[in-house]
Parts: sequence; C-alpha cells; structure tokens
Amino acid sequence: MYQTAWNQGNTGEERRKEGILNILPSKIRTRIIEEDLDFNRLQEIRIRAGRPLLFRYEGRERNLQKSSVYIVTVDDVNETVQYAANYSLYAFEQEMRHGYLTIEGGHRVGMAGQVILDGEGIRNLKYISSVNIRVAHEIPGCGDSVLPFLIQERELMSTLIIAPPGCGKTTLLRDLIRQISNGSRLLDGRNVGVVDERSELGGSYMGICQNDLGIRTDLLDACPKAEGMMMLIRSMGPQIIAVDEIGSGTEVQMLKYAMCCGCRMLATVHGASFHEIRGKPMFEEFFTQKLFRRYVVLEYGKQLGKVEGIYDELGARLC
Amino acid sequence: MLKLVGSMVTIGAATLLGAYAAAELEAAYQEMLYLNRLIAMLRGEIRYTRSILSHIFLKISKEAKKPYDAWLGQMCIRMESRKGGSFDEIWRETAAVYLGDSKLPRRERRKLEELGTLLGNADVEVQINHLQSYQEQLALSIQDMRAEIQNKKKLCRCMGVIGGIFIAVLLI
Repeated sequence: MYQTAWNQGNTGEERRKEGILNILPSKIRTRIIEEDLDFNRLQEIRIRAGRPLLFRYEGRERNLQKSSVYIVTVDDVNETVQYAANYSLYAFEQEMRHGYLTIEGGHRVGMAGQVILDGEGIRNLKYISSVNIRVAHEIPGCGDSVLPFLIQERELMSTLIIAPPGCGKTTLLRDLIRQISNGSRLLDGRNVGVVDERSELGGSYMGICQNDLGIRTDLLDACPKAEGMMMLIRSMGPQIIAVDEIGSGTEVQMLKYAMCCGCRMLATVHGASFHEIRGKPMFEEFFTQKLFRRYVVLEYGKQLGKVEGIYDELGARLC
Repeated sequence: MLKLVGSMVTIGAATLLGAYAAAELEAAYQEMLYLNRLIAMLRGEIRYTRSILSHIFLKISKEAKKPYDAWLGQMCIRMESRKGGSFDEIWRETAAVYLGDSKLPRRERRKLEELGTLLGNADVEVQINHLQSYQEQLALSIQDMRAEIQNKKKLCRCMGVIGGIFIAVLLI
C-alpha cells in the first residue's frame, strides 16, 4: 500500500519541482530539465565540486542519461548555496551550524566543506565543496497499510520507525501525523505536537508550513527536540508527540519523560534493523521498560518506503 | 529701455541658475540623510527579523520614496528569479540603472555600490558591522556636507546674481 501510494503520489509535484529547480545553477538546471524526471521519484541531487553530477532516483544512484556526464564546478556549488540561501546566508546561521538549510517546499540542502570553529563549537561552514539536495516528499496515504498495526482499542500506541537514511521514514511519519491528527475510521482525531528540528516534517519556509500535517497539529519549527518536547507538554497539552530522528541521550531522556507525562510518542531513528536498535545501549530502556509498543522497520533497497516488518514491544513480528 | 529689460532678464536668469544650483546641493544633502535612514531600516530588519534580503528589500521598497522604491523592488525581483549573477553584481547593476538619476553625489553612489560586496554572506553580526561601518562613513560625509552646504549655497546664489550683473554689463 505504501508503495502504491508512493507510485500514485503526485501532490504538489509542480511545487516540488519548482522548489528544486529554483536553487540549481543554470547549467545543472538545464540538464535536469532535459532528463525529464518525475520529481515524486527523485530523492537526492548530489553536487560535488570536481565530481560528476549524480542523483538518486527510485532508490538507485543515477547519472545523467540524456546528456553527457557533467562535472560540477566550484562556481556551480557556490551558486547553489547562494540560491538556496537566497543570497542571505546570514539568515540561515543556525541551520548552517548543523550543515544544512531548508528551502521552500521543505527540501533539505545539506552542505560539506571546511568547518569554522569558535569557543562554543561549530560556528559556520566555509569553502563549501559538496551539496546534497534531499527532496521532501509528501505522499498522502503512504501510512495506510501501517496505521492499523499501530492502533489498539481506537488508541495509538507509541511507535518507533526504524530505517537507514533515505528510505522514507520522514515521509511515513508525516503521513501518520496527518492521519492521526485528522482522525480516520480507526481512531478519532488527536492533538499532535510536532517538534520539527530540521523543518522536514512541516517543510516550513519562512515560518509557513508547506506540508499538510493535519488539523489538530501544533508545530514547533526549527526547535531542538529535547527542549521542544518540554515546551509542547507545558504549553500545548498534546496527546501525541512526534519527532524525527532521535539520536542523542538528552533526546532519549526527554522522550521517556514525555511518555511518563502520558503522551503517546511517534518517533523515527536511524537504524538498519529492529535487532540493531535493540542492541544499542542508548535505546536499551525502550525495550526493558516497553516504552514503545510498536516498531516499524523500513527496508533499505530499491523500493522506497517498503515495510520490512512491524514488531511489538516483545520483539514479536506482527507482519 | 530695451537694454534695461534685457539686463534685468539676464540678471534674473543667472540668479535663478544660482538658486537652482543651491537647491541641488540641498537636495543632495537631503538624499544622503534619506539613504542613511534606509540603511538603518535594512540594519534593523537584519538584526531583529533575520529575514532574507529579498524579503527585506520588498518590505522597505513599499515604504521608500523614488527612486529607491523601484531599485529595491527590482533587487527583490532579480534575487527571487535566480537567473544568475552574484549578489554583488545584481546590487551594482540595479543601483547603476535605478539610482543613476538620483540626487546622490557621485562619490556616495560609488560607495553605495561597493556596499553590495559585503552583504548577504557570513553571519548576522558581520552584516550588522558592515552596515554600521557604512553608516558611520555616510554620517561623516553628511557632517562634512552640512558644514559646507550653507557657504556653498550662499556662494551659488551670489555667483548667480554677480554673474548675471557681469553678463548684463558686458552686453550693455
């Protein structure tokens, strides 16, 4: 079902395409247009100085097919960065410290180069040599096949989505948030609090949420996850809290705190398998205290968003 | 009688020319004061809203007077279109086109064009510092001009009248 929804999903394709093309330097823009790509299937564009232009399409790395190999220049990289930041890098100071910025449409532009350090840590990036444009996908319905396994007696069970990068876990999380917030035949709509540290779930650009996260969703944009969860609990009284890519000890502790406050949790984490996550000391308490009742594992491979398995709190495979 | 009328017209015209030159000086001075206000607005927007430059330009353009409204509006359009060119190039090109007819002294126009090389990059603190430094230079120019302008205006008016009388005497 997830795959079907993925194949059929054409919501905002033009908007998505425009958002991506807008930040590409003219030489690359022309070549990408010539390729006549379906932007619903485009996942990444890799722009590395002195290296060929590559992109990830339908789960596979691809080169240009309708024109000869294009070697990216330093000017191309600089132009991309300028366009992505709309000639205003200072306005993305905080994001740049984390090595990425979010553009219109919710796409994430990751960067690598030389790090500028100061007494407090990473201050900025200079001599940017690589840019990775990760295309945000909004696929309504991609969570249809998963949601029934996450609900018991019309209540959502806390769920952790596990997948390697680029497998569609943010896309799945976004659709689950939307469905839970709006309500469906399986459960009534719930107040969902979303802490969107990297502006990927809401795809907020200049404060405006670009994606549909449902009618009962409160979004904290560009907010650190641990602080954001606390802010939501204190201020918005969410029934469900959703966060993407938990990874630090503080975040795990705050997640536990939120669950102890009576909130149900929807979260994602980088990992190749259920057993890999279970083996990590940081997540040990999730399993010993049965904090999450469901684990959805996405498969790494050609098919985006393909569910490898859904597990319960005891590790029993449900599908 | 005809000579008298001719002389009066000549003196009057020369006096008007002198007054026009004095008015131009005053206009240039007022233009520099206005530019200082615009830069202060830009600095404030960067510091407090941290918006991107195209949004700031659009906002300021709605409040700015001619020709700055058209210049900033065009900056916004060029930046949003992302059709090539660095920020500095866009800034210089649009400034040359839209501010060419402004009353700003040429030296100040050149300094303003150079400001484009410093905008857009780095962090907010650096942006603020650049703009502050530019404003300080502009304030010095304004101060110098204020000191000179009264004398220059008087000189222009006197030269107009005296020049007119001189020409009238030559003609008679």
